[in-house]
Amino acid sequence: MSQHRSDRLIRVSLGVVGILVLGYGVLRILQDQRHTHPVALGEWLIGALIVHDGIIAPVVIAIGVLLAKVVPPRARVFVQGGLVVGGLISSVGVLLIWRKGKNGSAALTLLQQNYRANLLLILALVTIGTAISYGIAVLRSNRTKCRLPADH
Amino acid sequence: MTARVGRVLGIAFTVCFATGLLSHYQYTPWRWLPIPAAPLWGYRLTQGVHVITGIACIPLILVKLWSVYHRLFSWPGVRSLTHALERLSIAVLVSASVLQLVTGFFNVLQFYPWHWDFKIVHYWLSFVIIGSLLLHIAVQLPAIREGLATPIWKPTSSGPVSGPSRRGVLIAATVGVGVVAATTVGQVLPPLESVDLLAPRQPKNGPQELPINVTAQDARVSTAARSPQYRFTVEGPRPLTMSLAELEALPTVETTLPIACVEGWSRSARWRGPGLLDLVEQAGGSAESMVTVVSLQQGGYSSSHLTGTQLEHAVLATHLNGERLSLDHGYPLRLIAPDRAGVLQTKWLTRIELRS
Repeated sequence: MSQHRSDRLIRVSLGVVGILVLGYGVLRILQDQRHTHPVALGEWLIGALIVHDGIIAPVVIAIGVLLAKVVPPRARVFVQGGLVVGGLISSVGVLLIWRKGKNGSAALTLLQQNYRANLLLILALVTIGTAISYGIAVLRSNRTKCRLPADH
Repeated sequence: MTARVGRVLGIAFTVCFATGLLSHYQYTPWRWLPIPAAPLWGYRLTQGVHVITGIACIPLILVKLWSVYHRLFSWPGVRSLTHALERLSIAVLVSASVLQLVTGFFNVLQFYPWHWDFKIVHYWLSFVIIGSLLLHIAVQLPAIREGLATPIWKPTSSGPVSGPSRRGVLIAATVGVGVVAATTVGQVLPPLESVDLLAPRQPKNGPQELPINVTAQDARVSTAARSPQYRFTVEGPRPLTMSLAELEALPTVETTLPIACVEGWSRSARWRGPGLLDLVEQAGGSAESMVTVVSLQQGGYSSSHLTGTQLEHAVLATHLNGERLSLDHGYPLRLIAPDRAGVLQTKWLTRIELRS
């Protein structure tokens, strides 16, 4: 069997199984309306798309564009890296900070840490790590520049 | 880069789906295939992996979506019916995945700002996600192959314009996701407790060094559990009825077993109390019996079933870590069995029912 045909077979099988499993999940959600509240669930699903595609992603892109304008290229790589690391960690961290005041329960040992301080500590470490790697990159390139004439 | 992040996310989703099915099976096992008692840390492992992987998927999916965001605005928006269906299936995949991860995390935080039954929707939505993921892989397979075959340092024309390098984002994403996983996993992995800065739970700080999920007050059993009229009964061919003093005078066994919560925290503890099977046999049952343990609690997880090896290894605990069981931990008597979901370790027991 040629590579092309076996590829096609894999793709068609995956697709058919996928549609069946997807359809089964949707069907069961629609069947069990008393527990699944399909209309409210649908609103939340659309809401998830709007919040991500309409708010989170554009804000991230805008920060990227702003960085490209104000930070010089060599430093930008590191600022971007640090922001991505910090942003990803914060995606979980801010939810913990937000819910701590409302759902925290000493009896359940639930959300009992000072997440604000903990997140700040982690972000401080990320900043220091980013600054150190930028420093190393600057030192390295300076050394390479100094050596260049001797290499020729 | 999309292919590489996608591969990791695809594996993570599959892990969550498989461990999720195992967890669901804990609640509704088939009679002929009971949950085994070994390994005794089985549920601790699978549910810990489920929750920590799910939390780590939150930053991971943000990277994945960022890497393909520009395609949302590809023009023409719809080229054909197939293309329209493909885009629709991606919308389903994205919205269901984002909702599943966020609501799953909210469940860990015990926050339910919606009306539907979390457990049922979380279960069926996972089929929607895995199905649309398979469909997505089927459609994108050539692009995935090409993406994985392209060396990571090679710039591509299809990447986001004027963004950071693919290698840079991959490194940053790995660090970000890694830090999230490392700072939450302490709630299931004691050696990493010291860096559990983002863990929702700190199991070591619980009363009697073990967390609880439902207090006696929440379960409305505070009075009944301490009542002098408390009686413990075993309903079987030779029914038994015991007062608290008689219950406490029974021969005991000691065991070390974890409480492993569906919400992804777990902790091992020392337990002491009469063996469940001893009482079942006294009442005329055997290791083949189907046993139901019933709580003083009304509603919620007020009873659970045991058969097979779990029944053989189960203990009706009166003591926890060397002390008399506290009210919130299930005084006067609670179930503890190996490889079992925490909510099924029924507390405040008052009755046992046997079926052959």
